[in-house]
Amino acid sequence: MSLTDALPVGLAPRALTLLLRGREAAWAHLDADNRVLGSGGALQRYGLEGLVEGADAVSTEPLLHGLLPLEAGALHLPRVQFPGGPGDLELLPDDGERVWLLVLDSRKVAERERALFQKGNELDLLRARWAGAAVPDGDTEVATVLGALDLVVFEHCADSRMRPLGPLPGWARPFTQEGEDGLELLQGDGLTFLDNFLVDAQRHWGSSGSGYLSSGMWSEPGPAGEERYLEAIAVSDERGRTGLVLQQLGSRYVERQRILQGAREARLDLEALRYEVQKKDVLLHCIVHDLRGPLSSLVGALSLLKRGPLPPEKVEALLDVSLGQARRQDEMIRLVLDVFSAELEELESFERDPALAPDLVTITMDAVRRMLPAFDAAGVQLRFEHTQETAPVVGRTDRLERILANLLDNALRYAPEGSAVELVLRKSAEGMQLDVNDRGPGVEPELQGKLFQRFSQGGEQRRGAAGLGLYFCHISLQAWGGAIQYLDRPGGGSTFRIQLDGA
Amino acid sequence: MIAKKICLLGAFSVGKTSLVRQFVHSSFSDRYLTTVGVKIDKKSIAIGEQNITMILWDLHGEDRLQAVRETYLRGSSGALLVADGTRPETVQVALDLEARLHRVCGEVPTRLLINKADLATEWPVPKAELPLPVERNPLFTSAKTGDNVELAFLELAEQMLGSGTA
Repeated sequence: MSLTDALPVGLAPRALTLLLRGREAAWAHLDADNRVLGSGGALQRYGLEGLVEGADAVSTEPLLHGLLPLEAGALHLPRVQFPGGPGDLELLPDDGERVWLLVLDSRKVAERERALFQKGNELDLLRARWAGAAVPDGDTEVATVLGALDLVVFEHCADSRMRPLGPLPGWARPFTQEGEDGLELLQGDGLTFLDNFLVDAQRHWGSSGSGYLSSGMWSEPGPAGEERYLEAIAVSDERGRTGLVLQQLGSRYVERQRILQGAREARLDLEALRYEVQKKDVLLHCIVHDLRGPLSSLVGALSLLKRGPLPPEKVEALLDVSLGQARRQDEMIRLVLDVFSAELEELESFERDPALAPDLVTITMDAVRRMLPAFDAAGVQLRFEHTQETAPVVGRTDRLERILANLLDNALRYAPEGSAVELVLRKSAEGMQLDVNDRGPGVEPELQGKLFQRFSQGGEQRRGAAGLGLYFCHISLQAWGGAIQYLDRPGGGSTFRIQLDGA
Repeated sequence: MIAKKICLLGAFSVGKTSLVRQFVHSSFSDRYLTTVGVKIDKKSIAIGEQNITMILWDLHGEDRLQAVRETYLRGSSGALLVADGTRPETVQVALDLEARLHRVCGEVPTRLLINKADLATEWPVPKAELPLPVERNPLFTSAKTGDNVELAFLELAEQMLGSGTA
């Protein structure tokens, strides 16, 4: 006969509920004189085997002295130490004057009831982890739940040690050491992030009231070198209990990083854009300044002519100045337009057909012929060395002519009187290579990397329209698959080397 | 063997994490990945006969989104102040953080680094025109190429030993 079969139908629902939980139970049915009417269950487990039919219950089990007869209804006594071990004692009045005596497994009751309590409060406890509410004493099941969420709760004990509640997940072990009473949080070197945070945590715990203090996120390599993302939270409650929650962050770290990353990249883009706008403003200012120079000379010369009368030779000289300055301004405007149009068109229209491709030999010879008078006037020799009869290259004739003019103009500006500017054309692995060598002062190392940018603050002489020439060369050649580079010339001076694909 | 805490301080995206990665792991990635909070790393070096374990606190860049907590600075024996040569305004951010470090830790040694030297052609101003106090003598580093990276950490360690903070 099972225990439930032995129970009368009128037994209090509470007793049935307890029994149906399947715990190890012992029972006895007593009459008004405390004599045992019947008994069963795990009497031996609790050392109550003397409660047999006909026995005097109070004489057999002295613990019942003073409890029987029941005077105030049902009696529940948790964790009673019976001869065979602890158990919960339930004394339940039956119909009339009889009493049911039930002894139930204390340990299982405690676990069960705590589990029920935790189920109902699990969410509250998790919320409490953030709100800084209580970390319950000895709440191992909560710790297990938190463990599944990569959270570990360390209880701040009276001896100042921090002991984990419940089992410790593997990732948290490096933060602990084996102490006298089991695992405890490592403390003491003051250098690790967590140890540094414990200083703040101590202050928080020492302050009055409840609340929490977050360490902020941090990362550090684990034992195998893997990156771990963590956060610690010091919690306290109004009852003065304190603890530390340690969490391994997964998606929360990634999410936070994603948000920050987006914001910072946007900030960097904004800074870059602002800088670009500033550069353009300065460039525009410089171009206007450059264009104004020839105009001032022109206005001056024309004013003198208008004021007249002047001797014929003076008139002639002023007209030459005017014409020269007008041409100079025209050149600058053309250069600016070249750059802007080159940027807009991206120079997509160039020739690859060898029969129609521009011939670098012819273009260079024409450039030399055009520039020779200016070189002669400056006392600078201009030489062109080449072994090829023709050199068909990928590009556009009109723009190649501009490139050559820019490079020769640049060389003439810096070449000292009596020196020579040499153009050397040779075959290269990719196609053709043309060097423009001068014996000028060269370019300072710090400025070399900026020579081909549209705007550089490094060299005052290359600002504005005049500074656009090399940039134009660079973007034109780049669009054709070629390149331009600066080299310090052995023996002093500059070499501007252009590289073009053969057509 | 002694262990010392060293902070890397500076604005965001100046290359603090890349400097640590280059120093500790001899590697570099072009991909910018912002640091959230603090990133801890370690490396042991020898200065003469003295072995030091450098515990490197790579602090997130300071801006409106994340402020550097002064508690992070506590216990530092020294710091590398990192600025980005392509963004001269980051020099001042590094110097401001240095002032906070000194407020928390006293006059511990620091070394100012102007990072991204490999991008010197993109710097908006030449080295000589960087907005620096005259007495500062920055080290120009490149986390990408590794130029002067080890030197920066070693020099700081030597300063710490020399100043008695190590």
